[in-house]
Amino acid sequence: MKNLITSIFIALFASFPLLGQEKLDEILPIRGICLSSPNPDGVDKFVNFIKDELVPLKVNTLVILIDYGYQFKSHPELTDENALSTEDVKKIVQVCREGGIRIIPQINLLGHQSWFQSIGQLLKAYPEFNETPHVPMEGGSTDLKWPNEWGLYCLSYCPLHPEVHDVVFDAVDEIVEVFEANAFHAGMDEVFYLGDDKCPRCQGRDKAELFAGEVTKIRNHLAQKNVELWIWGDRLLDGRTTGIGFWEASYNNTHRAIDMIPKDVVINDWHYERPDPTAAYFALKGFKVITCPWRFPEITKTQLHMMVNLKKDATPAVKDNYHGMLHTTWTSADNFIEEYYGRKEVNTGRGGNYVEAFKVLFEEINKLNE
Amino acid sequence: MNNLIDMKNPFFILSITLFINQNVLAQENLDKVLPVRGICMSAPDPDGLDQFIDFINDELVPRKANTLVIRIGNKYQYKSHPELASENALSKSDVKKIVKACEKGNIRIIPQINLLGHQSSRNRLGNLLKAYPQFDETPHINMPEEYVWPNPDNLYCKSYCPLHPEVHKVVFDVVDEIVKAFKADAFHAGMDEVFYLGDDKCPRCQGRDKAELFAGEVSKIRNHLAQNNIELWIWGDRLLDGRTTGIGLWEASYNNTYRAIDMIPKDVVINDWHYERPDPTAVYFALKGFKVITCPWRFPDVTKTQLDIMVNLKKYATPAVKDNYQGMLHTIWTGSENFINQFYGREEVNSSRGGNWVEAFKTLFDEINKLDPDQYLEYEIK
Repeated sequence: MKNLITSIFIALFASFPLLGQEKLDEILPIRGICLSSPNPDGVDKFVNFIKDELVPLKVNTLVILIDYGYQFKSHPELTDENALSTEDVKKIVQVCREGGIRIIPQINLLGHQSWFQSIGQLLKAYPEFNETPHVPMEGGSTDLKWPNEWGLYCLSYCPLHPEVHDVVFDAVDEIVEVFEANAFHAGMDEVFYLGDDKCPRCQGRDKAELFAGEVTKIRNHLAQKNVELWIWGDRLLDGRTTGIGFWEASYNNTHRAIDMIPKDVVINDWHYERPDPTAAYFALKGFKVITCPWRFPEITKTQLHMMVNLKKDATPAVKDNYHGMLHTTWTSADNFIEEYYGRKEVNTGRGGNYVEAFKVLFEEINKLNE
Repeated sequence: MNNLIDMKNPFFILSITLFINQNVLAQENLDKVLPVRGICMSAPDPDGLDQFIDFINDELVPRKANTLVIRIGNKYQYKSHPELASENALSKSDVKKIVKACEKGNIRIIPQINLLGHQSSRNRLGNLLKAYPQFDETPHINMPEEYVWPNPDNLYCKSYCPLHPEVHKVVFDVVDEIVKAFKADAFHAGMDEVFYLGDDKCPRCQGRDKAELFAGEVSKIRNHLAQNNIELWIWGDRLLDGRTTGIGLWEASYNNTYRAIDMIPKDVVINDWHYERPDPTAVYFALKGFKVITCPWRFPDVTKTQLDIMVNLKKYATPAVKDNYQGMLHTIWTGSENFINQFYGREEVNSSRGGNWVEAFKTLFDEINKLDPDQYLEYEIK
């Protein structure tokens, strides 16, 4: 009898944390962080951070910003200096698997093909893919500042160039495979250069159709292997009508693309300075949506509660569309870890503190379980 | 003790002035947070008019209601089209009494005539299609002797054909007349639950895009009203995708009208009605650039949550969108006599579908009057 009671007790006790986990998975299927990929010599620290901090905080999703920081076998010409080896990646994959964390690797497609004066590996190796080859990246723009006379934030590749997908899909496939991922993040945020008037292929085309066409092409490629596509949501929001502006929403007439892309594309809806309720907009349009905060703890907290409440009151058709939260960091992984442990000070230059916001978000998330 | 009411005491005068200023300020701030605090009621019978006016004076004004959508339909003695007036219709002087009470109580009246849809009710054909059967979108569907829903004809209400060349001449006459009688600066055209639209047998509409047909009719009405600076209000259901949102075929559209949201002028005011869940569709309308008013009915808890959603959305909104969150309009779908009797407990509320609209109305306005407007006006990033 004593043994029976003990085993019932143990069984009950053991099932409580499990119940808690299930409840949290139901309320907030995605509890994520978006981090830059580490340098090869920072991999061990990165792996430890995952094990020691992310797993105990019940983080279950890691979007890792790879771009060309991997030693591509299919296209060595795309590989950055200081890129991760297959072995490095496997260490990250293993720690995530052990910790129940889903990894989603990101390579920026379409936009973000340059950063200040530095041209990304894709357009360096294939200058013919550049949507705006007439914008001077050298000489004239060596002291490039924003705003500038070319409206240059980042270069884009031309989505209608007949060869561009042969190259980028090779890289995408390779990165999905090495990360053993079932989802891929294509970025696609802040695409200002699109349908350029001087591009012989894109000139005069509808920018919403160009954007939707590229999203759909990437989605269809991934869908052949049952890999989910994640993108940032900004190009699908009307920046003027919503007042959200031209970074977190679109001033270049791409927003109608929301009615042209497949509904299984997962939207990462980022807003940093206000808790914009755009999750409702995406969810009601039929998309899975994840709200992405950054640097203000109070806003992050409001965004979490908005997400949870929207889900609570949603119709059955829409409930699952409220998918959760993905915290963004926008600094190197090494910086973030150093700042997290207080060995370095956070300085965003724009107010707020992304380390504090991250900590607040996961404190609040863990309270949901109670 | 008399010293307390010493008019000569400067502190007394100061405190009175402060008190009045604070009240004015509180009112102004409430107007900013919740510009529309309304109720939607049916027009009374002529013999219920006094009770109706007492209700405005005694209950609506003290609760700070500032908007009355009054469903008129055929209940006015139209001079332009006497054939459209019902038997128990209000006279011009009846209407003046309502207008006067509302003017005095600072309540904006918005008269409603259902346009496009709702041209019949159960087995009764409305006066427009009785007098002008040629306007019927579905003349091949006979009115049943006994009405049941669902039915094989999918008849909920009849519609007029929006492409009939004569229909607007008639309906715009009565719209203009009612707007004038109520001295209104806004008109409510209903336009909810339009199931008969672009019928396959209609020689004008067959094969057309239903979103375009719906948007065309909204735009036509809006353009007519805009000539006299009259605002158009409509119910929002046809502009929502009922399947994708899971909201269903009543409060949203199953007949492919929802794309009309991108085809109508942005100054049409949307009355977004949801009764059983606090659907966050106000966000959808506001972000599309429309002024939106959330409309509850019979569940006090849902009503309370809807108010809460509305004020919080406004609080966090961008400057471009803030004013799109316009407020709340409580709906009453029983005769106004019944409602008033139920309000005073002389009659029991009996909703066959649960809830209690009298309680929901009271809750809504209790909560509105409890609001601390300042909490929703300023929002700073911390």
